[in-house]
Parts: sequence; C-alpha cells; structure tokens
Amino acid sequence: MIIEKVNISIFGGLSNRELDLQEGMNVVLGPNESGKSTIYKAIENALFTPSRLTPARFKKQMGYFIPIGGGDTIEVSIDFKSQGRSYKLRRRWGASDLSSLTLPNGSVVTDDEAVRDVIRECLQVPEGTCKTVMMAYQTGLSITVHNIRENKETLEHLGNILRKAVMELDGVSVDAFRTRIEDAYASFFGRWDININYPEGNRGIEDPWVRNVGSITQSFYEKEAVRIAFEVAVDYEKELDELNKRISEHAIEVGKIQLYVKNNKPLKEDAVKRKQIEAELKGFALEFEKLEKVNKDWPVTESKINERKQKLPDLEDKEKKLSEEKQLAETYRKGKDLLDNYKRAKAKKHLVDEAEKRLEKVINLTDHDLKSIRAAYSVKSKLEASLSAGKLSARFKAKKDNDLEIQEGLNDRIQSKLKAGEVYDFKADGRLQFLHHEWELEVTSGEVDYKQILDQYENAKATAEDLLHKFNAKSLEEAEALNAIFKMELGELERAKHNLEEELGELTYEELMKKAEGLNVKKPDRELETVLTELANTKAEIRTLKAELTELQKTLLIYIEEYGDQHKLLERLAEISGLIKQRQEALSKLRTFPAEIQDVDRFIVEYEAVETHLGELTQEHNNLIQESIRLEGQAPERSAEEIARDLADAEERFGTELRKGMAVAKIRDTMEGLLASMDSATYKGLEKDVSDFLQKMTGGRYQDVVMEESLPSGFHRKDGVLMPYDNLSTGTKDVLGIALRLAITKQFLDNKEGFVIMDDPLVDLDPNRQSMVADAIKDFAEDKQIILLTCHPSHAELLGGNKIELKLL
Amino acid sequence: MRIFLTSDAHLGMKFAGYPSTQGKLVEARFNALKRCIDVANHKDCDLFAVGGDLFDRVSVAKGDIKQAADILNDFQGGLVAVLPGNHDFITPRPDGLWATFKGFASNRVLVLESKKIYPLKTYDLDANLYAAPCESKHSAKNSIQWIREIEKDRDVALHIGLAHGSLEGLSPDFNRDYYPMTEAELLACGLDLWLMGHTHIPYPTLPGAKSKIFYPGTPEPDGFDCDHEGKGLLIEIEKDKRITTNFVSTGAYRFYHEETEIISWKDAEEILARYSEPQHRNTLLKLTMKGRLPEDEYKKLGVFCSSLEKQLCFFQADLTGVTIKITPDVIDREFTEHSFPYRLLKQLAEIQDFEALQVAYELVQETRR
Repeated sequence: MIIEKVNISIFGGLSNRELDLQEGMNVVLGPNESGKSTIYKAIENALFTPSRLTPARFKKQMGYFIPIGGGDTIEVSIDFKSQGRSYKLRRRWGASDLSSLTLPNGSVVTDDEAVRDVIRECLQVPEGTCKTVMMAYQTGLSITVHNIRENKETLEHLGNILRKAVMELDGVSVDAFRTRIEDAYASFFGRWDININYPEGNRGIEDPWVRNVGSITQSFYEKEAVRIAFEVAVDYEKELDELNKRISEHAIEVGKIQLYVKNNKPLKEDAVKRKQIEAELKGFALEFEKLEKVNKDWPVTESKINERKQKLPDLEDKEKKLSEEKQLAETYRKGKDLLDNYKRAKAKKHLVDEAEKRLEKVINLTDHDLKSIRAAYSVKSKLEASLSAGKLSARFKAKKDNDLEIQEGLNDRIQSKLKAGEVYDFKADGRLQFLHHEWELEVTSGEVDYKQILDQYENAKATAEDLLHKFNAKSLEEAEALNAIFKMELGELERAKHNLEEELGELTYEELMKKAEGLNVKKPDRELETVLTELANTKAEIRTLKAELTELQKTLLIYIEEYGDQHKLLERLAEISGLIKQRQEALSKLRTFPAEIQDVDRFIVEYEAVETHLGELTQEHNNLIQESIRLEGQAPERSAEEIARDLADAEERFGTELRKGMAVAKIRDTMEGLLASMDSATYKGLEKDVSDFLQKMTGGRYQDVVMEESLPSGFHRKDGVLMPYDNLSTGTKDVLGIALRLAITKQFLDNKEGFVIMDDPLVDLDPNRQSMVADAIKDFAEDKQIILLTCHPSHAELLGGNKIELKLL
Repeated sequence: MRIFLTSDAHLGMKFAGYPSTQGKLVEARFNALKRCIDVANHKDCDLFAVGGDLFDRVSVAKGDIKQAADILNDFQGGLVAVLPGNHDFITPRPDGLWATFKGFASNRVLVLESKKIYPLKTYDLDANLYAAPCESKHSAKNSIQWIREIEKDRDVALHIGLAHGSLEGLSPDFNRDYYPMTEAELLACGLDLWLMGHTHIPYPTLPGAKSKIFYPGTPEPDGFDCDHEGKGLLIEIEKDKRITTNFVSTGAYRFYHEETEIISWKDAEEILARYSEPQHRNTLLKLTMKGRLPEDEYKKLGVFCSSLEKQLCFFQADLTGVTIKITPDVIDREFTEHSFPYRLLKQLAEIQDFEALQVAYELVQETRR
C-alpha cells in the first residue's frame, strides 16, 4: 500500500488538513504541537479503527480526538494505492459513523468488517505487524531500540538483541512474560505434583502443606475437608442406622420374650405354688403317716415294754440256775479231764522208760565221736596219699638167695625169699623198703620227707585205731553204723520225753499223779455242753429282751419327747389332716397346665431361664439406648445430603482451578517450546540486512557481523578487529537501533510495496552519522514509501524527498 | 374429608453454602410450614398431614422443635398427623426428637410413631390412619407390608395410609436405600388414599381421577435441584371416595440453575433483564456460562455479575467457560508477525485451547509495555 493523500476533516487538533504524499521519501516537518502525532493517529485509526463503536469504546479510543471546542464527530479520509490500483477510504466516528471504501472499480464497501478485509489485503501484512513495524511511532520496537541505545538491557551478544528485538516487537518482554507465567504457574501449582495429580510429597488433607500453597492445592484441601465431613456424616448416619436397626431387632426380641413372660408368668407362678403345695402335702402326708404309725405303735410299744419287763426276771432266774448247773458240770468235767490226762501221761511215761532202756544197751558213739574218727581217718588218708605220691619201680636180681622183708609203700612188710638169678620187679608208691638181716634198703620218692610223713601216718593210723577200739568198731563204716543206731535210739527217747511233757503241761508227772488220785466229783445230770448251750441261749434271750426293752423304752421316750402324750398326738393328727385338706383345696384352685407341658419342672426351669434372659436383654437394651443417646450427641451439624451439595460445589471449584492451572501449564509448555525453537532459529537474513545497513550507516567502519553459533557476537571493523557489542560506542549503538529498524521492516515487507512511518530517527545522532543514516534511509525510500516525521529542518534537508510543512496549531 | 398434605419441610437445614442468605433460608422453611397451616385453616381442612421429614435431622435444636410444634398447634381442624421420615426417624431414646416434640405439641397433634392403625374417631374424623414411620435413615425394606396383611375395619369410612420413601419410577434410589416402594405394593394394601413423603417434587404432576398416591413435594425449595416454588397439596375426598386435588404454592424463594451458552452480549443482556424483574428478589441463581465474546464485551462480565448480585437474593456464577474471542484475526490485528505473543497466541489458537489462549492473552496484555 502506498498512501497518496491524507485528508483530515476533523481529528484532534487538526481540521481540514490535507497531506499529499508520494512514493519514496516524504518528510513531514513541523514543530512540536504542530500535529505530527495527530497525523499519525489519523492514519492509524483511518486504516484500522471501525467506525461503528460502542459509546464506551468510542469514548475510550476516539474520545481523545474529539476537538476541544466540542463536536461529536471526527472524520478522516485516505487515498491509497495497492498494486497500482487506487482506493479511497473514508471514516467517520461519533454521532454519525461512516466507513466507506471506494474500490478501484468504483464500488463502495461500507461494512466495517469488509473494509477491514480489503485494507488487510492491500497492506499485505496483518494489522498488528503493520502497526508495529511500519507505523512504529511509539511501539515496542522503538522501545527496544531505545533500550538498546540506553544500554538498559544487558546483552552479551548482538544475536540476543536481534532475537529480542523481533520477539518483543509488540512490547511484550519475554522475560517479563516468563516471570509472569512462572508466577501464575506457582500460584496455581504451589505444592501440587502435576504428575500424580496430588499434593507434593503425597501430603493429603491429613498432613496438609501450609506455606507456598497454590490455588489448586488449596481448593483440593478444601474439597477434601468437605469430603471428609461428608464421609463422617455418611459414616455417622450408617452407624446410627445400624445401631437403630439393632435396637429395633433387639426390641422385637425383647417384645417376644416379654410376651412369653407375660403369658406364662401366671402359669409359672401357679406351677411353683403347686410344687410348693405338693411338697407340703407330701410332707404332711409323711407326717400324717408317721403320726398314724406312732399312734398305732405307741400302745403296742408300751405293751411290749410291759411284756418284756415281766419276762425278764424269769429269764434271769433261769440263767442263775443254769450257771450253777454249769459250774457243777464244769467241775465234773475238769476232774474227768484230769483223769484222762493222767492216764495218757502214764502211757507216755512208759514209753520213755522203754526208750531209756534201749539206749543204755547201745554203744554211745556220738556224732562228736564219729567226727573225731573221721578226722583221724582223713589225716591218715592224706598222709597215705602223700606217702603214695611218686611211683617207684625197682628190679631186683640177686646173685644169691635172700630172705628179705619187703615193704612196698605203706603195705605191710612181706617176708620174701628171693632166688638167686631171678629178676624181681617191684612197684611201690612213695617207698620201697628191703630189709635184710645185714642190710636195709629204703628207696623213697624224692618229692616228700617220707620219714616224717610216715611217722605222722603211723600216728594218725594209731589214733584212728584207738578210737575205733574205744567203741568196739573195727572200721570207720562200723563206727558210722554204731553212730546211726545210737542216734536213732536217742531220737526215740527224746520224742517220748517230748510227748510226755506235752501231756503233763505245767505239772510234773508226780503232781499230776497226786491230783488224779485225790479227785472226788459227782457226775451231773446233763452234759456240760447241753448246759452251756442252754445257758448261752438263755443269756442271748436275756440280752435280746434287754435290747428290745431298751429300744422300746427309747422309742417311747422319743414319742413322749416329741408328742407329749397320745392325746396330744391325736390332736396333731387332726391338725395335719386339716392342713392337708386346706392344701388340696388350694391346689384345686391353681391353673392346670396345657397338655403340651408334660414336665412341669422343666417348664419352670425354662421359664426362669427366659425370665433371666429377659433381664439380660433389658439391660442390653438399655445399653443400646445409652449408646444411641451418645451417638446422637455426636451428630454432625448437617445431614449428609446437605454436605453432598457442598462437596459437589467444592469439586467443581477444584476442577475449575485445575483447569485454569492446566491452561497456565499449557501456556508455559508452549512458551518454552516456542522459545527453544526461536533460540535455535536463525536470523541469517536479518543479520545480513543489519550488517549491510550498519556498514552503510557507519561509512564502512564495521564490515560484518561475526557469527557465533548462528548469532552475531560482535562486529568486525574494517581493520579486522573484532568489536564485541559491549565495546561499541553509544553513537554506534544508536545507529544499530536504526539499522535494526530498517532491517526488520525490510524483512517484514520483503518484496511487498508498503509504507513506513518513522519518528525523528536522526535526532540523537551526530551530524556525520546523521548524514550517513539519512543516506541509508533515502536508499530504503527507493524501495518503500517513507513518511518521516521530524521537527528538525536540517534533517528534512538531509533527507530530501517530498516535504510537507506543518505550522503550529 | 378435606386434607392438607405437606412433607419434607426439613426444618433445621443449615444452608451453610449460602452464607449471605443463610439465616433467611433457614427461617423460610418455618415460614413455609406456617403458610401451609394458614392455607389449611383458610380451607377448613379436617386433617393436616405431614408425610415425613418435618425435621432435617434427629439432632435439631430444641428451639426448632418448639417452633415447629407451635406452628402445627395453630391448626384449627381436627388433627395434625405427623409421620417420622427417614431424616427425622423414630429413635428409641426416651428424650429424643419426638419425645421433645410431643412435649411441646398440643393434644391435637399426633405423632405416628408405630406401625399400626390410628383410629381418628376420637378426633371426630371417620377414618383410620395406617402409619408406616421410618426407624432409620436408610432401609432396603419399606414399612408398609403390615398394612397389606391387616384386616380393615369396614365400619370406618376412610382408610388412609401415610408412608415415607422412594417410589419406583419417580425417585432416584439407585441403591434402594430409602424404603423403596412400588405403586403396585401401595395399591395392594387396599387403602383409599396414600399420603406420601420423601420425594421433593410434587406427584402426580397431573393427578387423574384414579390417582391415590400423592407426594406434595417440599413446601420450600431447598437447593438448585428443586425447580418448583414449593408446594402443598389440598385433597378433597367425597363420600363416594372420589378424590380431587389442588397443588398450592407455598414457598418464598426460588432456586434456578441456568447453564447457558453465550454467543453474543445480547444473551447476557437477556439474562440480566430476566432476573432484574421484581419477582426475582427472592431468587437464588447459579449461572454457568460458556462461550466466546469479543474482548470489549468480555470486559463487561464483571459489571454483569455485580448487577445480578444486587438484584438477586443469592448469585453464584461460573464464568470460567466464557473466554475472549481471540481469533487469528484478532491476533493479526493486535500483534506483529513473528513476535513472541503473536507466535504464542497463534499456536494456542491452532490447538483451540481457548482457555489457555484467554489466559495467555490476558498475561500478554498485562506484560505489554
């Protein structure tokens, strides 16, 4: 779009002002307050502000341009060309609004939206871009450039400047936005873990965060608090329901049992009474029976006592007589026994005498004697054995006949005649002796002292023979036989003596004899046994009688003690009889049991068990009631239904906060992604343009921009020295700002036709630089329409082009 | 016989979620009950029946119990019959809610505490009441079975049942927790009329000649889920047992929950105009709006809400669904191509995250120099 004419009918302090503009450079020169900014605003609003505004918006946006003198309408027209075709735009705001765009073909568009669309098409850049880049009166870019000039930003690299300049074209500081979004994020997500959708550290309502809590976490805790209150209310109601249910069921059970008790109590009471009465009746019956028995028994007992009392003396008398008779019989018996005893003793005495006689006749070879004999024989045998030890054998051969006594061992000597020349063999045990009238030969075995032993043997032999001889025995065997006979006879004697002694007892024979000869007893009529039997029977009879008498007297005493007398007994009988009748009457008045109750005792037991159970149940019931009172005392202030509504609201609020927070998170993520991509984006075209412009504006002092990882880091001077940005002079930095402006504008407009409005760009430059920059701008104007506003005539001179002078309003 | 039926007054509700109007809402429930009594007296009703949930909880304050009893004592007809519901159920404690209530109530106020017949001859009414009171908050079984089994005294003209619980097909009772009943079960009891409670909406909406089962609805709306103005029911029973009914409005407050999509500011103006009418002085409005508005109209939402707050008794708005209409055109108009806000907002517009777009736009405006 190329603006050809601006016609301000009435706008701000300007009225009926017409500006003719051309392609290329246009310089609007005017002192301060001459309306330069008004012209800018007029162009801006004509292009972009719809005529149909709400009163509020009109007042806010356009009210400033209502002339001070009054009026309710402002109007601006712009004639422009786009791609060689002419358009006429007319805008009027206020009481009578108008949007009118005459198209190249003569048709007129009056709808604000339609007008906007055509303008957009003609501009070939969006409205925002146009305002920021092309119509940079006080836009972000200017501010950025201003900040660059003032060095307010601490930027290490030119690349940062370029990036920042582009990103912050709309005056939105990325850092400030980032800070703002981070603050917003923190205000939402403070203490909230977005990954688990729960407070950080799993700290739920039981252990809530207190500091740095964001709105999501806060609303979560609020929701949870309501939820807990809801759960408490629900649990409480459930608990109360269950308790009441238990109480109801319990009440039903209690009711049933109470009904049973109520229905059966009279029956049970009667049953108990009946049992009692029956027990009494039983007791009375027993007593009656007893009394009856006593009543019958009393006279009988008395009679019996009398009878026994009468009988007893006779029996005692009889006993006495029998005792006397017994005595006599005993005396007689004793005597007889004595005689018998004497008779036997005498016989036995005779036997003793006979045994003594026989004993006298035998040889008294006692055991002791026999022992001695045996001992002697034993010694002798031993000695004989010793002597016989050692076998000897001799051969005798004489040259002449010999008369010898030869003793072989202990054998007797034998006189032998040995013939000459004959061989005689002799064998002997222990010793062999040859006795000649001239010589003696004794050969003994060398193992014993034969002589000594032989002497001992001879002694032993002699002793044995002497002993035998003493008893007229010829041998040991005979001695043994004699001993056996002696012992037998002795035994007989002793036995006979023993029998006699037994018979005699403590008496001697002579005493017994004397007693027997002195006896003189008369034979009783009856045998002692008979008397004794009768006496025993009589005594037994007496004992029995006495015992019976004692028992009967005891019984009678008991009767007397218990009843006094028979008259009183009869009275008592009558009484009991009366009581029995009474009880039976009472019994007849009691309820009878239904047929199904067979076992009364069991019924009573069961009833009492039920009654006890009722007591327990009643206590249980009271406990349950107490429990319900306690529970009701803990009732929450509101019902679960009411709290449920609050919970729904709290959940909604939480959901809203979470949603809003997620929106912020989304913005943050998008922002980071965007910035990352923008960081790595290259501004190659822009760098080159900046470089070219800078070179032009510095007269070639700085040739190119040094790239560091696709971002400029400094400038190469003509002499090759690398000048980091920080080392640039203030004036160079100012020029850089303009270069930046032109480069960005060029980037956006690219090959499109368009206009650029600039506001006093040379104002802070030294004259030399002003000239170079003016040249650069003029070069730019060859391609694009420049509308430059300035209050400096010298700048206008430098720039040349179409000059429009404004006077003071 | 002429009967006034009400139920579910829920006296003692706290309305904690409405702090600015809490006191008024609490008192309104008593006032509604009083209006019911006034209508019943005006119409010379013989019987005033409360179908349950007269009180919100068994632990309501003694003052509330007394106030309720005083209101019911003013009935000038034969009898006030009060059925304990599932909120004010019968409890076994000797000094509980109903014991206290009976202490304050006159002898013409009868609490139907047991599942039994209550002959009304002593009150000069030729009717028997068959009561099915509640003994707990929840129950999977209803309390009307005994009525089916019991013999009806044919010498009595009218046999009227009172029960409290959900009705299949009418009340949402997914877990069958609230003494569930069916119409068939109720009719099978062989009574002339059923006076019910529990469901807060009046039923039937259009009673027919054969209708026998009636829910009056709550006399005073109690939340945004109650869209009527509070109702009571006048019932006339002829000698031939023909029943005619007439629903009576008894409430003072109205709850409205509007969920609307706003396309232009006109929609908001319409809402504002509607609720600015005088009849909405006692309206509680919960407004949920969604939509996209141009920025200048969006900025008017604050004033919109303030106006409604002033007009209405209670106003709660959820406007988080309303965003500024930030279109690519708007972005083009306001921002420079390739600038950071331009790129950011374009990206968010592309993915149609309008909420993020709105927040980003507002933050951009905040940080704009």
